[in-house]
Formats: sequence, structure tokens, C-alpha cells
Amino acid sequence: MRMIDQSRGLSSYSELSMTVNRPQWQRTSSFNVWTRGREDALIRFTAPPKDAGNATLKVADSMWTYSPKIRRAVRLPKSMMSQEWAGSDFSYNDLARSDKLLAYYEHEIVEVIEADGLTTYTIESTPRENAPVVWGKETLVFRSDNVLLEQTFFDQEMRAVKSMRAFEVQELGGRMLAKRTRMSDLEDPEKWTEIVYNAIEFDVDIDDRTFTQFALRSE
Amino acid sequence: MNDQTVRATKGTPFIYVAWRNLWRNRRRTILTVAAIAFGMLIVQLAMSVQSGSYGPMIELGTRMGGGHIQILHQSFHDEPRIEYSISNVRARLVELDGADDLENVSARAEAFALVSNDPHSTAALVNGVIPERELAISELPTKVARGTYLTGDNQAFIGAVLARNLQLDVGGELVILGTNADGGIGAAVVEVSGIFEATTDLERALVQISLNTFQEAFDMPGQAHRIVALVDEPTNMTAGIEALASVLESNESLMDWRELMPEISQGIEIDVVSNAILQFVLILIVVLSIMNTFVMTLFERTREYGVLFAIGMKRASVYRMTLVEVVLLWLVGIVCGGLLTGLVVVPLMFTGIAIPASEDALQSQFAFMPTSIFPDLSWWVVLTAPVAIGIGAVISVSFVAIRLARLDITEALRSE
Repeated sequence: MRMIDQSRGLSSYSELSMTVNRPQWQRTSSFNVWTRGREDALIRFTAPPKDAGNATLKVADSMWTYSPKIRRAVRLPKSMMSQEWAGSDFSYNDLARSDKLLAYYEHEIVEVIEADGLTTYTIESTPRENAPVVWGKETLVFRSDNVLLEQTFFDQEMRAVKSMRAFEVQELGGRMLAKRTRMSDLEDPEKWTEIVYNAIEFDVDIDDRTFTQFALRSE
Repeated sequence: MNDQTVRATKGTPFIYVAWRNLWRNRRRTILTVAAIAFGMLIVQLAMSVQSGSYGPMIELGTRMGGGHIQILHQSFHDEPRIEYSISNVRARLVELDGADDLENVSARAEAFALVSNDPHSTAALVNGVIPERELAISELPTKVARGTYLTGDNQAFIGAVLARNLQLDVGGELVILGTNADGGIGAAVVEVSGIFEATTDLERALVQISLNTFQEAFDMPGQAHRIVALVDEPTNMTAGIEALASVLESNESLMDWRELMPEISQGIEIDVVSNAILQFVLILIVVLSIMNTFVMTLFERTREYGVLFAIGMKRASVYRMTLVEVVLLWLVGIVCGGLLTGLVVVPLMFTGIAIPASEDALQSQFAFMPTSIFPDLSWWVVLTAPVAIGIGAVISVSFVAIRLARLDITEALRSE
């Protein structure tokens, strides 16, 4: 939980860029993220011009997507949450997951490594019975200073499907964070998505109205 | 009678004697001929209806939108991702319009997207179609339950279950939100022009919009995912495939309905096997009942054979005469059966056999249920029953031959 809080705080504002790599093409976009507590977030694209203004709002368990092209916000049904988000290797669930890992999974520490005065833990997380989760299991590697280094997703046959790795762990906005995070499709080495923090501020004052559908619709 | 039989041993053609023997017992012969004729009719009707039912199955499968032959991106069939599109579509359609071997052609784009009528939303297959061409290659436009088919851009033609789930009616606004080929958001707001009732899976998940609207929404100008073609005769697509191959570009593949809809061709294969078993049993019953008639007739004549032996006719000659009799009986039977089939099955080939109840709810559940079946008479269908009955007849005569060989003359003469 502290590990998740580490990247969110009570509230945060961050500017990120995302590169999606595919065998045929690669594209980079930029977006800003506002978060409140553990549950709520607003993501709004700023570049490229074609995508600028597209936004995703998450409040508690609900998510909406907004497109300025049609000036409409659409609520995402639960069944769509495992679909890829904005053409990347991240799913809506990956964005929304927040503390679900605690609620729906059993955890077991399978490895502890001491290095450079820091302890690195490897945790195997298995979904509880009846948990609304598509994965067979997940493994997480994180450091005692609450930085998540690696997260691997396994399908129901326990094959590793995709993996998220953290790079360039450094102090950002006063906290230790991975500047770069890459989600890779383990079945196709040419499919990956990398998210880079360009700026992040924690515990900033954000108007509660930011996390409303009204704000989603007004750019 | 006996005079003639005796003369037969002296050289009169067996066929003449056999023919006269047949009509000695008119009632028995007519009954046997009728048994052969009706048996043939039953078998031929069953087989022709079965083989005729595949055409409509193929037609329904293909006319619901698949067409007979398609051009698509080589990866699209296995992995229908929006980026596996084909270009230069309109120009190629115009070129294909001139091909004699194609009935009609059209193009389609497709994407899985979120469709929404706030606050309801669900995932659906969004099809971009060319409305005026779609009318010529698909029956879906005729399945309108409310409203009209697409008449222009920025309209949607949606399934009845989907409309109910989204609480949408004709004139309502539908928001489509999906992912472009490059990962951006593809979106459109369209007005529902009509609602269709077809098969359950289509009703639940299909949204048709115009290809123009699709191309604009998903940012793929001039592109589509399939060029769909209908040929006149779905079982002979060679010429149509050649016509399409002439406009095939690199990275594209040509597929026919067998590859596109393996469920239909596999369904037919399974049906052929299960029906073959049923037909085998049917033919067996028919043949056995006719054999029974033959064997009984011949056993009834035991006394007559005894007389023939007594007056010196050779057993082999008696056997030969009996064989000729049976062959003649068979010939008369299959000629009558052929006439009967001609009278019953041939008219049905033109009028069709209506299948009741397939117009209503049943049809939504069984995707490929034809409304009427037109029997199909192939050589295989025509010849199976006569040949099988003929083999049965010869086997019956063999039984009799064994019996004749063992027959004791005095006993035969004493039998009734």
C-alpha cells in the first residue's frame, strides 16, 4: 500500500510522455495526470495535436473517456476494463488498479535480496477465489524504500504474458520514483509501451471539481 | 404354360418366358413393382432434399454479409486489428464492377468499439459499409424491424438486442468510441436510422455505419478491411477468384467462403456424414423389404419348380430363368420409380419445400436456417437407390439358387 502511495500521495499532478512501440510504427504522446487519494484520477492528453484533449477520468470504480472530436464522454463498461488503453500495452485496469492488489490477491514473499543497503522483495500474488481478475498470478519486485521495480502478469496457464519494469529510479517531486516505466508484451519483443515522468508534484491543491464529468467535458 | 416352359429348354429366349411368368401372377408383380418404385422415391426424395439444403445454408451464411470471396489484409483474418486495412478500395470496386464473373462487390471496414447512449454502454462490432452496395450483397438491410436502412452518412443501423440494451430507438443518438490504427481515439456520433432483427449474435453486437463515417471516425481515409464479392454459383468460384486476383495488392490475401466461414463448410461435412448413416439405414430397409418380396415369391413357387424338374428341366436353366425374371421385375420397378420421382421431386426442385416456423423466433437462434429447401437431383442421388435395390434383388436370387440346388423333387411336388 505504501508502495502505491509512494507514487500518488494525497494528491499529485504530473506530466508524462508515453511511447508506444509496434513492429510497424512507434508514436509518442504526452499527457497530464491529476490524482486524488488512492482512487481518483484524471488523465488528459496534450500531444500530438490530433489526440490533444482526449481524456480519461476515474472516480472510485467508474471510468469515463472523453473525446473532443465528438464532445461526448463515454462511461466504460466493466467488460472493457481489460482492453488496452489509448493503444498502449497498459490496460484500463492497469491505470485503475490502485489498491485492488490488496483486496483481491493473496501475497507471499518468495525472495529477499539485500543489496546497497536496500532490501529487495519478490512477492507472488495469487488472486483469491472469485476475484474479478483476468490474471492467473502476478509477481512483484519492490525495494524497501517502496519503489516497485518489476511486475509480471501471468495468464491462467501461468505463462508470463506481460511485464512492467522500472528504470532510472531517482528522487522526483521529493520522493523516490522510477522515472521510466516500460510495459512489455512478452510474446512479441517489438511490442512495448514506455511512460516517462517529465515532472511530478505531490500533495498539491487540486479542486475537487477536477474529478467530475463536467470537468472532463471542459478542456 | 407348361408347353412354353418346355419349349424354353429347347431354345426359346429365356427373356420371353420370364416376362410371361411375371404376368402369371399380376397382383404379386404389381405389388413388387410398387414396392421398388416407392422405395426409390423415398430414398431419392430424402437424398435430394438433403443435398439441396446446403445451397441455402451457404447462401444464408454468405448473404448475411460474408459474400463468397473476399480480399483482405493477409493478417486480418487471424487477427482482426484495425491497422490491418486495405487501401485504394473505391477504385478497385469500380474496376470489379466490370467483371462478368462477379455478381456484386462491396467493401467493408470493421472495428470493435465501445458504443454508448449515456449512461448505457457496451462493446460492439462496428461495420463501415457502402449502403447502396450493401443492399446488393447482403440480406441484412432487408431485416429492418423499425426505421429504415442507412440512407447516408452519420447514421447507424443497429441490432434489436443492442438497441434494447442501450435503450435506444430510431432517431436516437449513438456514440462510438474506439481505437485508431495509430492508437489514437476513434470516435463518431451517429443517429440511429433503423433497427434490425436477424440472428441473435448480430442483433446483440452489430452496428453498421457508412464507410465514409467509419473512415472519418477511425482516421483511415480511402481504406477498408474487406472487399466482398458475390458470384453466381457458390460451388464454382474459379472465375470469380481470378477476377479478384487481378486487383490483389501486396500484403493482401484472397479467401473464399469455405475459409472465411469454416463453421458452415464443417457443418455441411458433419451433416453429410450423419445423413449418410441415416440414408444407409433407409436404403437398407427399402432393399430388405423388396428382397423379402422376391424371396417370398420364389418360395411360393416351390411346387412349380418341382414340376419343372420332374419334366426334365435342368436346375441351372431354372435358376437362369428366375434371374431373368427378377432383372425384368427390377427394370419395370425402377422405370416406374423413375417416373414417380420425376413427378414428385422434379416439381419440388422449382417450387421448393417451405420450412414452417423458420421465419419467426427459431430463425434468430439458428443462424443458418433456410426458409425453404429446393431438392437437388445429382447423378449420385438418382443412381443410389436403383443400384442398391438391384444388388438386393440379385442377392435374393442367390438365396433361391441355394434352395433350388437342395430341392428334393418329390418333396417339392408335394408342397403347396
